[in-house]
Amino acid sequence: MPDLDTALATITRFAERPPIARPPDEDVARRARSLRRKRRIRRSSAAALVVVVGVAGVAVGLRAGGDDGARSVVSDTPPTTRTVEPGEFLDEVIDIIEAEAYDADPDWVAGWREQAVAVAATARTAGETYRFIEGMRGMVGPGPTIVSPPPVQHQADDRTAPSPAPTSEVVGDVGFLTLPPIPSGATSESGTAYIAIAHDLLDADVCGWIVDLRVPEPVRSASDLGTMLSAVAPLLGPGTTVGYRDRTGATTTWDIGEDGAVSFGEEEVAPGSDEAMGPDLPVAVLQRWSTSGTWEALLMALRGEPDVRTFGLPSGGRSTGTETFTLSDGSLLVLRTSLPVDRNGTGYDGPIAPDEQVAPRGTRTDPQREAAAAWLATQPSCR
Amino acid sequence: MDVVDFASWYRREHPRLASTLVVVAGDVGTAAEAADEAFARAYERWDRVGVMASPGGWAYRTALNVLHRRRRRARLEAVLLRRHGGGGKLDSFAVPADWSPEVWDALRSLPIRERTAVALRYVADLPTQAIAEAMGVAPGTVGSTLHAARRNLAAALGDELAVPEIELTPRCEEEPSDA
Repeated sequence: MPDLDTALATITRFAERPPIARPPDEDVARRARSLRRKRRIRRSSAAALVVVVGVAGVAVGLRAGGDDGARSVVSDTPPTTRTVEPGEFLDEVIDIIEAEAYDADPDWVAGWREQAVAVAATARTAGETYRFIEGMRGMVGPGPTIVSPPPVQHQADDRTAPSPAPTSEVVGDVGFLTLPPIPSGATSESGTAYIAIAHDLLDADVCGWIVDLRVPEPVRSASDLGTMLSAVAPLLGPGTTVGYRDRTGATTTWDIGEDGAVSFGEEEVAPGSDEAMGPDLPVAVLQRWSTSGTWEALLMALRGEPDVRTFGLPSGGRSTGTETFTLSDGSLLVLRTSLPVDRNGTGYDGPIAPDEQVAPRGTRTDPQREAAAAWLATQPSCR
Repeated sequence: MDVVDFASWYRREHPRLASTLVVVAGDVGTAAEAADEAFARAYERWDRVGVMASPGGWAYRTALNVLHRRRRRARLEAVLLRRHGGGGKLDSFAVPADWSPEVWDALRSLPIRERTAVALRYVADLPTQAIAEAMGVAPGTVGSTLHAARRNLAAALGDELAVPEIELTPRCEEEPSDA
C-alpha cells in the first residue's frame, strides 16, 4: 500500500495518462453546433417572428433588435415542448445565467443552486419553477424573464400585413419625423420599403429635423434596430452609433459606413446607398418614459452627434442588450447579456435624461415639440 | 488581451481536464461527457472565453457544473431504479487503465467535495484561488477541504501519521503573489 506522499505523487501523474482520448477538433465544433441548436435561439436578421407577451406587467418584445433591446435574438424555427424534470430544468436555467447573464454574481449563483434543490424537490413540472426563476429578477439586471407556454407565434407576412412607414410633416423650414415600429429586418420587403420612405422624407428641403421618439403608449411592439438605424442614417452620418458591451468587456457596435451601410459587428444588416447620406442638419429629439428599447438605442445613437439636442422627459431605461434562449421544455428565457454603450463607450444602465427637461402640458399643445422648434430656430442653418 | 488559439488550447488542456474529471466523477464515461460539453461550450463562446485571464478556470468550472447536474440526475435515476426493484448503483468506479488501483480505491472513499479539491489541486495543478472559483467556495474552505482530504486519504491508505494537525499547505508557495 503506498503512503500518502506516494499516493499524491501518483495522483499528480494521472494527468500524464488520461483515460479519455481527446476527440478530434471537428467533434468539438460539431458538438458546439448541436448545443447551440438545442439551447439557443439563432439570430436571424431575415426572420420576421414577432412575439409580444406580458410578464409581470411589462410588455416584452422579442425579435432581432426587439423592443426590449437591440441585441435580442429570434427563432426561425418553432419551439418544441416536452416534459422536463424540474431539477434538470433549473440546472439548465442557472447554467445559462451563470454563463451568459451580464450581472451574474458567483455568490448569487451558488445560492440559487442551493435554493433550486429545495424548489425542485416540491415542483412537479418545470412550469412550477418559473416563479423561482423570475424571482432572480433584480439580481441579474432586468431579467431573467421566462416566457411560457411557448408563445403563439406568427410569421409576419409582408403580403398581407400593413407595412408600417415613417411619416413626416414640414412646418416652416423644420421637418417633423415619426418612426413607427418596424419588426422586419432591413433586407426584407417591408424593411426595405420603410428605409426608402424614410430616406425620401429626409430628402426634404428643411433647415433641421425634429425626431419624435416618444412612442405612443399602445405601440409596444417589437422593432428592428438595424432597419431603424438605416432609416435615419442620413441624420446620423458615418461612424459608430451605439454598441453593446458584454460582461467580458467586449463591445459589439452598430456602425454606419461611408456609403450608409449599417452593420452590427462584422455583419452588414442594411446595404448602403446614395440616399442613405444626407447633409449635416441640426436635429432635435423628443423623448419620454416610453422611449424604450429600440427607440432608446436610437436616442443613444442620435445623442452622440454634434448639433443634436434632446427634449422631454427621461427615457424608459430599458435599452438592455437581451438575448433569448430556448429551454428544454420549449419556453424562452430572456436574459440581459450586455449593456448598451454610446459611441464613446459610456454605458447606460437606466433612464437617459434629456438635455432640456420639458413636461407635457394638457392635450392641445405640445411644449416639448415647441421647445425643440425654438432651439432649432437658433441654429445657424435655420436663422 | 490576445485571443488564445482554441485548437492549441484545447489540445493542451484536454488531458489534464479529462483526468481531473475522471477523479471527480469516479467514472470515465461521465467524465468524458462532461469534458466534451465543457470544451464545446468554450468553443461556442471562444470570442469571450478566449480573452479571459484563465480560459482553463472557466472550463473547469463549467465542467464541474455539468458533472454536478449529471450526479443529481444519476441520484434520481438510482432512486427510481431502487423503487422499481433495481440495484440503484450507477457509479461504476472502474479503475482507469494505467492508474494505480490502490490510489483509485482510496480516492473513491473520499466525499465528492474532498475528491474534487484533490483533483483540482493534484491533477489539474490549480492554485488555491482558482480551485475556490471552480468549486464556488472561499479560498479558506479550499485549504480546510484539502486538509481533510489528505487526512482521509492517509487513513484510507493506512498511513495515519502522514497528515499533521496544522495545515501547512505546502503547495501554496507556488501561487503568484501581489507582494
